[in-house]
Amino acid sequence: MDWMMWIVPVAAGAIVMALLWRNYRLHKNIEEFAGKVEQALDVISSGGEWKPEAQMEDSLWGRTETQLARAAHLFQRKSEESRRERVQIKGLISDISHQTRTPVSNIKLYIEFLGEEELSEDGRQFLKKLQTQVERLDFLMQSMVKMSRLETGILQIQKEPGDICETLRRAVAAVVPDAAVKQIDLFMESSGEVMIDHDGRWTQEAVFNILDNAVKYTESGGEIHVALTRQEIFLKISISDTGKGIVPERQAEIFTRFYREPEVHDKPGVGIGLYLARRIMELQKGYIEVESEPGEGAEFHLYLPWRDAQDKV
Amino acid sequence: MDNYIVQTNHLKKYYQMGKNTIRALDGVDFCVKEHEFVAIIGKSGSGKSTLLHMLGGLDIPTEGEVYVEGKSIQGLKKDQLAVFRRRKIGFIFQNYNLVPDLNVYENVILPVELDGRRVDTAYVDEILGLLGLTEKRDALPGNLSGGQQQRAAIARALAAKPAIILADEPTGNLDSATSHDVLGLLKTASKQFCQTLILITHDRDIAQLADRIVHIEDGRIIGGLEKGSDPDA
Amino acid sequence: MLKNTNNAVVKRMARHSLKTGRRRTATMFLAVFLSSFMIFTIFTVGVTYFKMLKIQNIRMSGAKFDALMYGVTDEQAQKCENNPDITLTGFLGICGWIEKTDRDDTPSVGLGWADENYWSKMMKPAREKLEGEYPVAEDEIMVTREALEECGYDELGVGDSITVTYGVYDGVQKGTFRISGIWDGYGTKKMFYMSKAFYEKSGWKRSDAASGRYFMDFRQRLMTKKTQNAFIKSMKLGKQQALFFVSDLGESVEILGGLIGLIFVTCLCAYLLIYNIMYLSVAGRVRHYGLLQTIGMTEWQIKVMLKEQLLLIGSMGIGTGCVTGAFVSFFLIPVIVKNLGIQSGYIDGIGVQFHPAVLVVTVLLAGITISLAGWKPVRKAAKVSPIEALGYRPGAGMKVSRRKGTGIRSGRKAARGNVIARISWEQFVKDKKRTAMVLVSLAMSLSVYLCVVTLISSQAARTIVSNSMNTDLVIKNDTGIKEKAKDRKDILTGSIEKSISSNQGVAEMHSIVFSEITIPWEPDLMEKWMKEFYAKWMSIPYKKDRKEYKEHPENFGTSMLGIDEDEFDHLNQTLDMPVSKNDFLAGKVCIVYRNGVELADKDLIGKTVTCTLYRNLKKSKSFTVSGVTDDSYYTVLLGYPPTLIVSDQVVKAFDAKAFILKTGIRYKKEYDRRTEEEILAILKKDANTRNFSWESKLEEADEMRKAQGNMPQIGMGIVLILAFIGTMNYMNTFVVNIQNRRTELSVMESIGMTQWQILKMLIREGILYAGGAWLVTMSVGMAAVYEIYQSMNYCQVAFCVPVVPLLGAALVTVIVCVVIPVAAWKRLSGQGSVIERIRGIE
Repeated sequence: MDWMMWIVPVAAGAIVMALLWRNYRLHKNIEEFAGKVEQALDVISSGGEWKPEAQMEDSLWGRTETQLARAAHLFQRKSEESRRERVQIKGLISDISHQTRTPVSNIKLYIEFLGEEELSEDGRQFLKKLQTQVERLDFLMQSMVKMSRLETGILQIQKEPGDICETLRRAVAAVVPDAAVKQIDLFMESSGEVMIDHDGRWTQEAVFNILDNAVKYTESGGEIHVALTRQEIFLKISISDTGKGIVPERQAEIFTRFYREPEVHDKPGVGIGLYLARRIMELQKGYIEVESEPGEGAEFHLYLPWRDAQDKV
Repeated sequence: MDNYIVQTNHLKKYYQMGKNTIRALDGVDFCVKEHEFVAIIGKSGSGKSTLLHMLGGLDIPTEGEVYVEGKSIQGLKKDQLAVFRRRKIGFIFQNYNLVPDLNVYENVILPVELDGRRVDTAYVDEILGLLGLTEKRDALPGNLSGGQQQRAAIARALAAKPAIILADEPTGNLDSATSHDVLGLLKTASKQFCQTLILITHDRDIAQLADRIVHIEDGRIIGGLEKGSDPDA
Repeated sequence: MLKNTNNAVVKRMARHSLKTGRRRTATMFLAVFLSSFMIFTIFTVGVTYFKMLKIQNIRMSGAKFDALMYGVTDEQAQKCENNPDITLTGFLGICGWIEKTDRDDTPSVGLGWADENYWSKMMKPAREKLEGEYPVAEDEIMVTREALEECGYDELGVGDSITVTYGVYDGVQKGTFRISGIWDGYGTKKMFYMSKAFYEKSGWKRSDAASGRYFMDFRQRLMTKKTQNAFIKSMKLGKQQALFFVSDLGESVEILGGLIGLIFVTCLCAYLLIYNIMYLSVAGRVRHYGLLQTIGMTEWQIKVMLKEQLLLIGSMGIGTGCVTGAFVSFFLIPVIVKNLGIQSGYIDGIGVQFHPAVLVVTVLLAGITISLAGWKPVRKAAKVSPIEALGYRPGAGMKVSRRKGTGIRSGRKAARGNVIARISWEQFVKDKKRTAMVLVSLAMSLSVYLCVVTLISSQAARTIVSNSMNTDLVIKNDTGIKEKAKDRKDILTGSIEKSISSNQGVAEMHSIVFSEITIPWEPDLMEKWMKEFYAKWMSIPYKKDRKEYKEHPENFGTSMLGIDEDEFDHLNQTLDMPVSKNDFLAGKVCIVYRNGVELADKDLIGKTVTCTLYRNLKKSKSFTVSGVTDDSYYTVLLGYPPTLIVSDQVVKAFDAKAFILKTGIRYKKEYDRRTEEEILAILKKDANTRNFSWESKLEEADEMRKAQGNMPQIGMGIVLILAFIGTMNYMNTFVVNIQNRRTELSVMESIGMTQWQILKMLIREGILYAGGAWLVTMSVGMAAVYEIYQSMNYCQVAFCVPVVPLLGAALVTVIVCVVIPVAAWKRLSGQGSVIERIRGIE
């Protein structure tokens, strides 16, 4: 019986040791498994394709990996598909814009011809309205062409060193006529030459869009200020107006495509100006933000990086 | 090359029968694109079943290699091949080959369960619904008609969400009306679930449903399109 | 690497297939159940028996020891103490007796000294109560209540004194002793245990065989006779010394061997059955396993599936087997253990000993049997290739060659025998391995049956130590052994002899005539004889008595026995050197009973011995010693000089007053109860009825049978279990066989084979199996039984197999072997029409 006395504790000890060892191994394996899952997810979420290695192994990882790879493959296919669709739609829009340009020009021409004819008072009234509508249509078409070109990458942003003040001045000059009509004062604090890498044409477009917006939403007699601030990483272009401002809930929305303030539906515009401005800044690795209180006017900040972070890499 | 989900490289299979060498496959180069539906036609003994078995890793070629998703399956061990099949391949056989002890539902989810995966119940229900087996899910295969059994076999092939479905004369034991139904279902289902379908038949009518037809005779591909040319859908 | 958790479905499928294959499952379950039941019960019996035996031995001898030596020299004691196999030695010195006390004249109480080891270690397990201390001073004693009663002083207690007259080596003395302790328990209780000082003064020595009792406890629990004898030899015993092992150490080897053999046979039977079932099941489902592989089941999963089935069946079978075994043990074990030689009296009722190790061993043994049996079939299932299952490959190599093989053989055989016989024979030899397994399985149970039947039927003959002539009844004249010649009477007179011999049932009668003689001293034979005789049997040296023997040979009486001619022939056969019959009848030669004296045949033969009548020393007669016997049947009063055996006529001529001492009677029919009753009636009617005693073989056999109790039934129970397993194996093989041949048989039916012809074919196959099984039994089985028989054949009884039970078993075997295939076919042919059955294969 004494051998039983020995065997029992020895066996119990061995079992405990084995269990501890098993537990340790299990923990290690789970750790390893989670590591592999994370690795795969990293690859997948950064848009790469996961090449499974263990899919013929009858292990938990092999099974999960196969599923992950399948999911990744599907994601990739789906995103590729939707990208293709987008390109198609944009192409279509751009086609439509191009195709409508000639008829619109012709309509404009004929309206001019018609203006030289004898017309009744009502006829003149209608002709004037017709003229406004055609202008609007033309503007819309042009905006869409721009947008689609920008988005599909047909037009590439080309950053070159240049004087940003010059760019700003050109943009301001473009809104001067409209501002003059609304009797809005434009101020620009320029401090000589500021050299920075940027795409002059598109940056001008972005600034113009914001200025155009400011003019649109500022009552007669208001003011618009353009200012430049040098910051550590970014150059800040601030454009402030004394308009009615934007309620905080809408501040994110205003940068989306085809967004228009509900109160200004009757005014001309299609709602892509700010969207374009944002895209342009993003493509230049910069960003755009707005600060506003309702009734206090709005202040847009456009940030351009001094140095392209990715170029450095 | 990356576009081909299945590719064979000069595949040969010889059997020794007494003094005669039987060439079941004699240098087959064959490729299938992802999501393609290919029909292989040929007379019995032409080697089409052998080809299908090779693709599914059931048989080992005398020479040449089979690539699935760009990887050769020749070096795999028996167990790895089994795992490969249950994860990548759905087989449909002429004589259904359902497990007689298990009911339809259990048969359908068997490959998924063998892999230890969670059964995607909604998906399985969808398949069963699509194949008109919802009513029969608890029936044993012995109590089903041929068409129902074949549909259950198709459901089993689809349930594991394999990349490739290999069908060996799936309608061989069915009458022609049922054949067309079953094949239509197979085609719709595989399209819906983004699967590549390779089907063997000797029936040209059925082959017409495919995106592409490959003709095999005496172990060689004589019709259809060879590797390199564009098998446009 | 984390394992894939994908075995749930596999295990579920395993359970499922157990449910669907109910017949298979039930058969396998029964095999496991019965075998684990047997193993459990057998081990429990073994454990209980050995435990009981140990307790019994301890209590019977009053101490725990394995061997006992009479007298021990210091050298021997040293040797034992140095022997690593001996864990403990103890010593008990017998040093006298109580002659008388004031209250009792004839107390039978001994005196002895137990040393420290013997008293406090060896005697302890047999002792139940102890009061006081072991004596230290010379006048202290340790007593028991019984010993005190014997002396008439039962009221005394510890501290009291008792005055006795006691005898020691040198003579009788008187003394007063203080009782230092009282004990109670088992062992020699009518003994006063004395102090060491007393022993040393008593005059006895440790080396005296009459005094020294040297006890040894061995490390080994079991010892074969051979190692025992080797040990005894190594002790170099003196002439008077003796060394005995307690019986359990030796006998237990045999009993253990038997139990292990039985377990082995059981496991083998279970193994064969499980293996066969699994193998057939796998072979029949090759397609199924291949199919599972095509849909992605790995080899490993197939193995898990089958192992799970085995595990489920195994755990259920072993579990229920052990529980049933435990339950049955309560009823069975007391019976068996009693029959193995445990007597009530020492054991207060036999409690079943459930040792946890028994459970472990049962689970282990049954588990090993199952896994061994499952090993190959499981591997075979896993090795199935999916392509094989799809069966598209034209002609898998093996099948082709096999078919070719049988083709040639059938071609050769076609010349003789009809078609049906040929098909049957081909079926029988087709799968030789499986056929062999079934045959072995059947033969195993038949062999065990043969063994049980043979042993039971010969039990009496083998074990009853009857007289050498194998007579049925020996009548003795009890007066013949009285010390005083005047008390001896000739009561087996002619009239009794006549009335017995005239009984119809009596075949022969052999009387032994007795005469008391003495053999005077002479320097050659008698001197040598007496010297050896004293060395062997007496505690005093021959020297002391030599003078008295020379002067008064009449104080050294012995006996002369006369035997008749037939008895002489029989006795002569047993002698190493036969005696001339003519010389014997003529009274020229005599045969001497050796009486254990250490003299070889050649020391005695050829010597002349001269004897005289005891009552008349003048009348003498000389014989030449021509033979020596060790058969104690030829003894009466054992004197110091040798017993002489001569012809009865010679005795009668030498001594007119010689009379018949005992008569051996043989019946015409052995164990004839009626004849015996009639003879005993004659004796009981006689006036001297009280002076007759008899030894009856019939009575002994009756007693033996009573002692055997339910042993034969239990033996048959074991046979039945084994036969059941064997039959199941056969049945399973045949049912599957017929299922596999369903198409073949149905095709034959479709081309015009009648039902009767098919049945004839199947019956023929059944008979082949039965015949094969009996062939194995009668050859290999018989040989094994013969070996077992001879190892238990203590009385050299000729090996004889009981014919009637064997024929019965043969009949049963044939019936079973024929009925099963026929029934299987009947059931099958009931399933639909011929054409349905032909198609049914797919």
